[in-house]
Amino acid sequence: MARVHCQRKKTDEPSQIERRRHVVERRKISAIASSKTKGSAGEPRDSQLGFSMHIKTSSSARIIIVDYRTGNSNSIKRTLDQIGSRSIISSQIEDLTQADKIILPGVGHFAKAMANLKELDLLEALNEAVLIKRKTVLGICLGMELMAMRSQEGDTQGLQWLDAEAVRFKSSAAARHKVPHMGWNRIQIKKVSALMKGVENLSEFYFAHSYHLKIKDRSDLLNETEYGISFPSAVERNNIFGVQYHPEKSHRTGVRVLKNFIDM
Amino acid sequence: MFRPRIIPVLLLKDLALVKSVQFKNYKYIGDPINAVRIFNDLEADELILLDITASKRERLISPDFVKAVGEESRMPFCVGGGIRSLEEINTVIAAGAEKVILNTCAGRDPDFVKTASDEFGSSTIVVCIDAKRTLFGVERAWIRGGRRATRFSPLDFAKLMEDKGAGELIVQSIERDGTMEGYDIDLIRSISQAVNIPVVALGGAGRIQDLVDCYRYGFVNGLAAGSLFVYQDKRRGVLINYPEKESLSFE
Repeated sequence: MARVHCQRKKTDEPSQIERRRHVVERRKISAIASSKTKGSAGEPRDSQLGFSMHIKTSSSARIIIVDYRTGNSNSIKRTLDQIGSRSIISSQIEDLTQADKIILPGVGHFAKAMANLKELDLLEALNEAVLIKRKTVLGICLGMELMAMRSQEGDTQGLQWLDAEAVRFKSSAAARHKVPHMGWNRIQIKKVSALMKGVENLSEFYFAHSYHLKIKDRSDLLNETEYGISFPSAVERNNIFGVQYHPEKSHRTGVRVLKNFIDM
Repeated sequence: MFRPRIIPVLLLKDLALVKSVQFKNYKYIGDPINAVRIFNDLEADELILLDITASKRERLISPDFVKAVGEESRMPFCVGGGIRSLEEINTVIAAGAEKVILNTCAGRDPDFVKTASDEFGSSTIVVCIDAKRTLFGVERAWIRGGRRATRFSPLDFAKLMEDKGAGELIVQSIERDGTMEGYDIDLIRSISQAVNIPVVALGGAGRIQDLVDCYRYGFVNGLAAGSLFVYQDKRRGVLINYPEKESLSFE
């Protein structure tokens, strides 16, 4: 008997972490219980529920994640898959024409991104989809900056969908505000928007950028964030949306933003 | 309000999660993908994954493994281990990592950091500075998993890396690694006050208070730790854990 016991213990060894996981799960369960006793009204918060059961979309909109050889489209695609949205990563004009909504991702260099869009012959198709057919578009990080008239990064013209300019953060070693602005920071929600449904004011998102938008028209301002200065962390103008943060890397709140975009 | 990131570091040895003391004496912790899932549940700010045998064996961290992490992770993560070329950076980024961590190749060829940062943007390129004294008591930046000293002091290496376009520095004390006795705050502050890019502290954290102290006195943007987040306490019983954000005050 003792021997059997010993063997079992041995095979259990690698799953030590798995057992800790149960501790986490138990803690979560107790969190649900306590929120009930507090009688929290309205819709339950995502963090108190199993992640996948709450956040599925019923939308059948076809999403194209524009692949222009920069940035990390895969993690956006994976999040959309988890939400249950129909999406493809593509640089084909045909896919862009057929899509209902557009995500413009982006990590990297502004001038290079514009050059790639030009090289892939996507500029005209993007302009037509967004400005004429008025398809809903979401720019993420560099994808948002690209919507500006121009950027200081490489001193390049942008897509010119927004009356804005991308400028570099000023930095100094003495200050806490190093550049790039890298990490978690709060947003202030500046207007009512379908993109912000269920997102609390002062929620935290993950940022990683050295440039930020300067907008001319304050009515485009959707979120604002402080980092030494106040800068627009999200913009909205008609069918054009941009977020400077990475919703695909911002835990449940970020998933919520992407789901809102799909459900719009 | 901007706050420092709190970053668990996962060390990999042959795809097993391990933890070292002073870059030696590896102890088996468990399955790394399980750890990523737990840190998802605990909503960690970010993860650092380091393959500690990659550079020694002159190979890249397994792209399949990075992909598996990418499938799971709902938080940003950065990856280091044997990265030597632009193609390898591309492989790791395409697998879902936000950032790559360079050490050995940055020490051997500082200009590679410039090439990489021009290609992928500086916020993708992180350089890890492993600091230790030589036998003669001179503080140096080390490469190849702490096996070879460079000719640079940690501070000179940090400034050089900033010049070459690194977007972030991880400053790690080899002597403090795994000791759980607190960060080398003097080392960390000397670097964070000399550069304009974000600095992440690593090596020695054993209590939550160590994180707070290092933020206050080390002027860092991120606080990374291995032992603190995989062990229950100094007795080193395995317990994957992460502080509740509400319980932390950095002001």
